[in-house]
Amino acid sequence: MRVQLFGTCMVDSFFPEVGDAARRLLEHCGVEVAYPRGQTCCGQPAFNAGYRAEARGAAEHFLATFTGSDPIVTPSGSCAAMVKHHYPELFRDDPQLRELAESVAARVFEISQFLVRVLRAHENPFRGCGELTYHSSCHLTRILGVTEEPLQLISALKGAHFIPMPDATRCCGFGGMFMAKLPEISLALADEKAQAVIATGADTVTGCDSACLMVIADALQRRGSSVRVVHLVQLLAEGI
Amino acid sequence: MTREETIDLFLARAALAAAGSRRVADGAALAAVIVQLVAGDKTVYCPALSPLEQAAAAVLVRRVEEYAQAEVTVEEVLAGIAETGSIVCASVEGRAVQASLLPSHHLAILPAAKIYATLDDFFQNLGAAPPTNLAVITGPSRTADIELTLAIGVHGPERLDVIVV
Amino acid sequence: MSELQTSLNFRKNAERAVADPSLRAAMRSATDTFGARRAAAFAALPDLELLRDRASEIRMQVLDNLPALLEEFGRNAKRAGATVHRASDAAAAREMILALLKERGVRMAAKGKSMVSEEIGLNAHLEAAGIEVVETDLGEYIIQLEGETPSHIIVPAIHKNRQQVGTLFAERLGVPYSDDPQVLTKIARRVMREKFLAADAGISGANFAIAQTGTLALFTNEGNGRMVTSVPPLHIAILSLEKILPRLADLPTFIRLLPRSATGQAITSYLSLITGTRKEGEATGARELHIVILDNGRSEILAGECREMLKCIRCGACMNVCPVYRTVGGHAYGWTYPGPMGMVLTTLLTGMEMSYPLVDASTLCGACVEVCPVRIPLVPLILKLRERRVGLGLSDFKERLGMWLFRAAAKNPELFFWGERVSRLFWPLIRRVGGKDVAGRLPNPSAMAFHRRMP
Repeated sequence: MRVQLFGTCMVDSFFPEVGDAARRLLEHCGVEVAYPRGQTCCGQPAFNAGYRAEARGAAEHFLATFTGSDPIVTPSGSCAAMVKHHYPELFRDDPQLRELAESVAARVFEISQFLVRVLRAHENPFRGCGELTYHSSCHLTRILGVTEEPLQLISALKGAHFIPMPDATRCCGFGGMFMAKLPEISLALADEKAQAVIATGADTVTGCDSACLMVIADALQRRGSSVRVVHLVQLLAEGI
Repeated sequence: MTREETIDLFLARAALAAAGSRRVADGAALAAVIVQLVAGDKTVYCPALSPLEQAAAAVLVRRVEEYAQAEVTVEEVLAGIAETGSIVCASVEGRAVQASLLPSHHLAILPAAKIYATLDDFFQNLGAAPPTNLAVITGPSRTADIELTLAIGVHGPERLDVIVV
Repeated sequence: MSELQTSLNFRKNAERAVADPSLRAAMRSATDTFGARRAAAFAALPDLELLRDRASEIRMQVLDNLPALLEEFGRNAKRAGATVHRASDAAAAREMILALLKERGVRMAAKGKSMVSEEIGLNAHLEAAGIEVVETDLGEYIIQLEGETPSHIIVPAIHKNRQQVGTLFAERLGVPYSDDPQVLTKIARRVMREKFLAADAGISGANFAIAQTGTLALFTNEGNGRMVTSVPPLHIAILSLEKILPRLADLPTFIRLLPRSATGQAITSYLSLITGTRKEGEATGARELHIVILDNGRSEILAGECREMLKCIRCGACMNVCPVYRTVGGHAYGWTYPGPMGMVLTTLLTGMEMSYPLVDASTLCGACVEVCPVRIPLVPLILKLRERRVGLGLSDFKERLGMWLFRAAAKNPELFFWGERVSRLFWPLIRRVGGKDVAGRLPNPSAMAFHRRMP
């Protein structure tokens, strides 16, 4: 089986280790990982800010880059949601592109979704350790409906002890442009999330969206906490 | 749901809404309960229109003409709704619905046969010509406006008792 | 209460709110409590999703047939003895109501809670004309004494703690200080009772208006709604035109959804159904009932692409789960309606020029969509409004430039990668310019971007 890995723009610049881990993990599961060259961004930052034409531009490039019929796998719930949920509607007045968008949308998977539902990766053990808690990203849970899969993967980390976080599904405050436009509110939300993490007593917090993890890490650092913040695919890759 | 189950559900749901809820067999038993629930020194308004109301009125010591002067209203109500444990008061038969609102204690007599199982049943039966004023009442008045702390007894009655006969 | 809008100051309002520990604590407690109560109430109800589907269907039906339903309502209300007035905007509604009160020499009006009356700034208008208006809902009474506006559509004084209310009552009512809500409530009962009985008129809102019978439906807990609508001889009800429901038989769906969504109660203590005036031989009901139906921009919304916002039944569930509302409270939004429904409705009613900062007040987390009992697509509506703002040229020039560059880079990988390299090189400068609270939250860009690690 072969998949196309969509790294995402955030991972490309700021969290390439997440991309590395995604690749290693998928290969460990026996999947050939192709990486379509020239991939850039799904267009979400523009779309969420109301810049439809700009978002469409990015989306057109995405459609032209991720050709073929292989599953497209990405380590970001919000990017997967953008393609699956919004691309068809972005091209609503172009029947051809709309059809293409729909077929691409149907091929897109957030990585934990793919690992569990397609590869059954959670049925194999991974090495884990320490006390671990989990943040449920908003687009992942509410738009993609991916609620159980990350938890199933966490339970595959043998040796790690999972502690649920209170209000795990409450927004971390990233919100894309929101963090730049309303930083005071964004910081307050991230701080509440950091407090929730600290209250669990965990030494590690994980999640499936690098942007969320980024603001959580910043908030923990502002509180002087040494809790490790790490993407779920990294934990799994470390535990191979 | 059988009739009995409907009545039981009504009693349970009314109690959950902080209403006193009990069932008696007939007018005589009703009068006995009223003697327990309404102290002799309380001013009571009772329309005494229906037979059950008359049975109740017979044991009330200090009856007043005006509900606005009464500490207690004892009256038969139009209906009950089991789904929510509600009683229904309406402006039929020249009744004053405010009698269930102004006094501090409302004691509602509810004939078992007038208990509807669900809200849908009640509203279907209401048809297309409702009375001028109809109040679906569930428990005593309440508020949570201060720090979301429940306080029973605001502008409406502080106490509601429902007696199913 | 004034309809003066300060939404353009949303960010400043929000900043102030974020830095106010007592407000933050009150908002956290309130939203946590309501969120939990709502969840518990619906956990006990087996067919929530079916109910929501049905409610959404009924509300869409109303929107699709509004003129006919309004006409039917008017006919039936009139037949039952009410006089129905249509007010095209806030000024017309205020004038209408003032005229009705003045004609009858009303000196004091007892008022039940009505968000629409806040929207049109009714109280200030009446008071300026010398009519005393007493808010009888406890929460509204508290903020009226304080001279504030509501911060939540269901619990208007949610931002106040018990000590603040105790102090307020002691100072303004001359009663001994107490911060026990039970005691404070009894004080309000006593004070208000006199007002109800002395009022020349009662002014109320309505949760719904039933077209089939010309009936007004009011959900209340305190009893003040019943008082205000049945004790004074004159009752004026004001509601916005989308509050119509077709038939009495539609009510049970909303009885099951509205109280649970709002406060987690299975039903409110009182549901009043008022059909016209007191008839011959009756002992209950106002002698005169005037129903003012307000448009104030809603017909236009109805004709547009954001019409689904008019399905709203004002339950407040969305604001109780909104992370932004939780953090900044209701006043920050700068107008009558806060939280998710408030962002959208305010922008639609008052216009983008007066409201555009509000469309940013969301992380698009979708918590509101999950709880809306009538399935309003709040997130898609917010996105539409953001698009509209861009189209109207109301977004920041730097942002527009940035988005233009973004598009160019997203379509052109070489430019994209070059942009990444430049950002990395100039990161210390970007960090300094962007500030520690924005750019400072990002990590340093990696020395080797992911795409360079892949074959």
